[in-house]
Amino acid sequence: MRTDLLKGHLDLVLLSCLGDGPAHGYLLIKRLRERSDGELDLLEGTLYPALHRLEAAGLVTSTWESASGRRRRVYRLTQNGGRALGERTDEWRRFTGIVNDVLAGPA
Amino acid sequence: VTRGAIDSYLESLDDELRLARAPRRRLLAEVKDHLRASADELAAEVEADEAERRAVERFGAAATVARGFAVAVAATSARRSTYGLALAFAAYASACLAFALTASSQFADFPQGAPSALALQVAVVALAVSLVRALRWRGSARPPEDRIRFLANGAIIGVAALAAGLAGEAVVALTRPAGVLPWQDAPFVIVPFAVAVVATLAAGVGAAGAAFRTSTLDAVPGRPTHVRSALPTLADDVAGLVPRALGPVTAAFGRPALLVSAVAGLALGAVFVSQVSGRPFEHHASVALPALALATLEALCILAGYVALGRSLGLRGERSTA
Repeated sequence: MRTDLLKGHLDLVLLSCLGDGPAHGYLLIKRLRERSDGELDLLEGTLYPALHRLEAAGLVTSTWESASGRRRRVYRLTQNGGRALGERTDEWRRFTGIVNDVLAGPA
Repeated sequence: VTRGAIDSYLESLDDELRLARAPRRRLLAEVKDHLRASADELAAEVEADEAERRAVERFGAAATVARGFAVAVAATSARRSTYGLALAFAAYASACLAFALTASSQFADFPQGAPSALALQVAVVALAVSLVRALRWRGSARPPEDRIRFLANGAIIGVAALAAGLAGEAVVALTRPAGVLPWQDAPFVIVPFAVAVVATLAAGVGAAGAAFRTSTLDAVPGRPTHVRSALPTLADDVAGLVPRALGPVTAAFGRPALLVSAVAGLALGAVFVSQVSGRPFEHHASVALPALALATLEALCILAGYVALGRSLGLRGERSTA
């Protein structure tokens, strides 16, 4: 699948992956790959500017945590982030429903 | 596992990043952890060197990552600078209102109040245009870079206008003994103006930061080669907020010089009428000339502001570059 189709929707996808629980950057990429059966295989470095933006917007928060001898920046949804995830998911479902109806042609 | 490819990549990324020390170190630490985790996983299938090479390849070119981060940081900073300008504007406008209510006679004593009147007009235009763009692109994954530049310009222009207005009022107050207030009334003016000064200084720090971060976009490889014409972007942004406004806004901004001339003409009429009205009819002849001079000054300031600042705010002219 063309990964440029993900442009504009990366924030929603990341919020959704964080909805599964706190995660560091690499784990988020793995969740994205697993949930999409490998179809959404974006350049991994594009994740970090997006996480910065979501953090600046107050939708996620992050802390350094140590595990297995490694220090990792772990991201989690804030209350606003959870609310935004719900709203954007509804919006996306409405939008894709409309596009699907259009593509289906006349009833 | 040898770390050759990862270490080289981190060095390249460090060279490309245009960030302050703390966020740079944080990002490099995150990227390092990410690449090592990725390489360790890949090392189960391929040789260690190849695992590192693939991890780096999947991460993306250092310049691409650096540019993405520079845009994200500049966009956040520019948007915040607009909100800072909004607070400073509100503080300054409140101080002027307090002054007008406390010392209305001195407020009418030209040029007392004139610096503020000019400053607030410039600032409100910069603020209005910037707020449209900030709100339009608030939730955007990656706002267009021309919008980020216009936001940063708007904050700088707005804050500079407010600072010049405050300095102008201070000069007028200090050089005109007639402008000195009775002490019992002074706190009603001094405190709001002190708050306005603090808010303007804070907004100035934010605007300077936004301007700096936006300027770094030029230094990071991958700059877009084509920037769209400024006027359609503003019409697009207004329509993005209020879809029904696309037609009227496009029509209004289709001939910007005509639009601004009309605004200047209306301002000329409004200022003249406000100066003459309320005076006895027999005094109209004596106040007509000063009123006309003031109204003309107002109209000329609008035209001069449009010529001098319109391009930086994305209100006039083409910004297309090859």
